[in-house]
Amino acid sequence: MNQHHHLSTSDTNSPVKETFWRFSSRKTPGIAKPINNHHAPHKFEKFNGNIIPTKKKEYDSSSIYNHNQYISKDSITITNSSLSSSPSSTLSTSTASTTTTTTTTNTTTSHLNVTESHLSLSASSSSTSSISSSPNSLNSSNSGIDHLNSNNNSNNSNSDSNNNTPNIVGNKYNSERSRKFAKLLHGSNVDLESLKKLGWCGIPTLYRPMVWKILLGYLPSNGERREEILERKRKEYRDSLPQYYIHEDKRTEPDKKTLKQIQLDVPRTNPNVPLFQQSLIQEILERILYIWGIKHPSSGYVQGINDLATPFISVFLSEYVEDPFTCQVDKIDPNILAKVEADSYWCLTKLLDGIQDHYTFAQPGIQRMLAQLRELLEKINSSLCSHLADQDAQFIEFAFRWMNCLLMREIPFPLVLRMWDTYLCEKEGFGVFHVYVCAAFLVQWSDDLKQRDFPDIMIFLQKPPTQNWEDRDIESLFSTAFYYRSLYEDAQSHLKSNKLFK
Amino acid sequence: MSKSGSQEEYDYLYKIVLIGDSGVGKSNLLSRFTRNEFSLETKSTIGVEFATRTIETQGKVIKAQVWDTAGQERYRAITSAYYRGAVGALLVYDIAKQATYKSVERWLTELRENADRNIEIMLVGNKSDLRHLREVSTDEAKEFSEKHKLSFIETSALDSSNVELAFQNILTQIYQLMSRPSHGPIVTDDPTPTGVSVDWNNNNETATKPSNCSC
Ligand SMILES: Nc1nc2c(ncn2[C@@H]2O[C@H](COP(=O)(O)OP(=O)(O)O)[C@@H](O)[C@H]2O)c(=O)[nH]1
Ligand SMILES: [Mg+2]
Repeated sequence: MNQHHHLSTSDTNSPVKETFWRFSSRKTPGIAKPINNHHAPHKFEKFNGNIIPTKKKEYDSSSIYNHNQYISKDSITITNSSLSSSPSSTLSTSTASTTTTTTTTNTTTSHLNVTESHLSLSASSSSTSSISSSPNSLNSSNSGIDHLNSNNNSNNSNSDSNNNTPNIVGNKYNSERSRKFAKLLHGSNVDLESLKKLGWCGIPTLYRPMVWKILLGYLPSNGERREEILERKRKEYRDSLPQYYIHEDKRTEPDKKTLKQIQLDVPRTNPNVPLFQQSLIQEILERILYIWGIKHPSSGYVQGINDLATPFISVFLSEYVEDPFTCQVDKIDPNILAKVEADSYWCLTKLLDGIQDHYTFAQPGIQRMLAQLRELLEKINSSLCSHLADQDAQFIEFAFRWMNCLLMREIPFPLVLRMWDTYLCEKEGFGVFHVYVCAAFLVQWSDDLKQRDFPDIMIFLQKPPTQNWEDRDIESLFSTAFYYRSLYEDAQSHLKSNKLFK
Repeated sequence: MSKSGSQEEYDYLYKIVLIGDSGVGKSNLLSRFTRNEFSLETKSTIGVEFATRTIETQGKVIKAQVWDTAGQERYRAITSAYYRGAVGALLVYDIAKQATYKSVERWLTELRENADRNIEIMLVGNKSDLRHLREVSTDEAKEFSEKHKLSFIETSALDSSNVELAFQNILTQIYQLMSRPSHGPIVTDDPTPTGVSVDWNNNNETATKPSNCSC
């Protein structure tokens, strides 16, 4: 007997009626017959689903290997054959040819000890980043920005053959790109503008950790001072850790609350990437978020910041292990983990410095971006804009998360890394260019969205069909976003002021 | 992406919001009710999530639009906007976490400040499957809800118990309340939105809460 019914006896001349009149704007006239497909979700719906009681796991095998990291929790122990078919092992072979011959199921844990000195080598296979139009090559034609050069190994999911017979043209191109990165980074003073130009189209995995650190301003462009600065910053972070480790009784109430929230969110972070299910990584994430939170009281830890820390952890781990997504963290030297942790902390700090008002009270930065997005859409695709308005689908309802988590919840994790390459090469990638990307993201489903009513719009946009996306989809998105910006940047600039809200 | 085309008719459309502290199981109650799914690895909710389901009660077909919100305080400035038009609220706590029950009063205050004053509220003690970890007794919560004129139920999104019933009950209560004559027509052809005061497109509105709230 655990229920108790109560019927409100409150007065009858209430504004409740108005409440219902509100609803009428969200349905077709009369007793509506909305098209509703939420009971028949598109096939990607349960991609990460760990559904009880059926315990059904529906992993799309092609995407598992497309992005070479979507491996379910249960398959952390992957076999050698599947490992060697993953593109990332191609990279590791080129950098440390001994690793792939290891025969235990723990292959993934082998340490690569890739140090910065390796960066001067010109790696012959630069892995991921395929190439499409660079910002420079974009002219005023929106349509038909093609991706001829797109050399991602992703269409050959489980077949080994591709690694044995690589796309020669693409490899040549990639190795040439890698050489360019190597050359740029090798000099005693990195030319940031050239680096951004080169990196806009994607940064090879091998160079990504270093390039990100430089672009974020964590490492100086001057090569000689890097070691010294790294050492100092890592020590500074280490010295702040006692704040985390203080006795529970000494923690202030707000700090306790922060820690509790972080502890709730850490296990719920990137649940589909095995790396983030490992306790050592979760502890690292917890410390990073807690220290960041107490050092930035104006915003404090806000849900979603946990997502933003994850790219750094996995990218900086990739300096030391061949496949950070599936590596066994407890086999990694704790000193290495400490470096990864400190670097991730500082880079997260740098990133958030640039978008601080996204997370302060009432999140004005996000409100501003949402207003910009609406203005943009009005210009780009006014019929979609008015359809959304007709359906009373508000931007804050479907696009809040796009801003708060920088589309990380909508885009497969490995592609997020690719996105950040470009964002970091942009002047204000995360705060400004992102709005154009969101506009491109929305507009690509325009025809579909225009046929949907309010609930269907929401349900579709909550889980847009991006699960099988590849690098080229991101690049296409960016090309469109770049184009929009070239058209509308000036018109939008007035929006940068905080004041303008409809 | 093709539509399923499963058109359905309904007599009434009700918006229900899920509120309560982070981690109490709001998102899983939503997925259990609307899709019969439960997951141990849900991501934290950011902004709002939304799902619908149609049920039948007292011979009427009722479509529930269930909104799920983030539990963290930071978001409340924005989520308050989501109360717009809500006629029911499931105020969820975790029976195995005293602190989430302690927050119930705070959530009631938030409801009073942001939602329609006639909103139907049901207190929901979730995770009833965690018997051995229980920190909030059923009697205590029942007493509290009687005092505050709330309905009350204990549920488990994990083993499904009472989830269906919780939604069924609140929707029925709303229907009964709404169909009393003084409330006039509920379904209307008039597409003009009226009334509800929170316009959350207006930034100023979301940043400040009304200080002289009459309730
Ligand atoms: N044992 C148990 N765990 C639950 C139940 N409902 C949710 N959970 C778990 O509690 C955690 C938080 O759930 P979630 O739905 O994300 O909570 P929310 O933050 O309120 O939306 C998840 O790990 C769920 O698997 C329940 O009824 N019983
Ligand atoms: Mg939730």
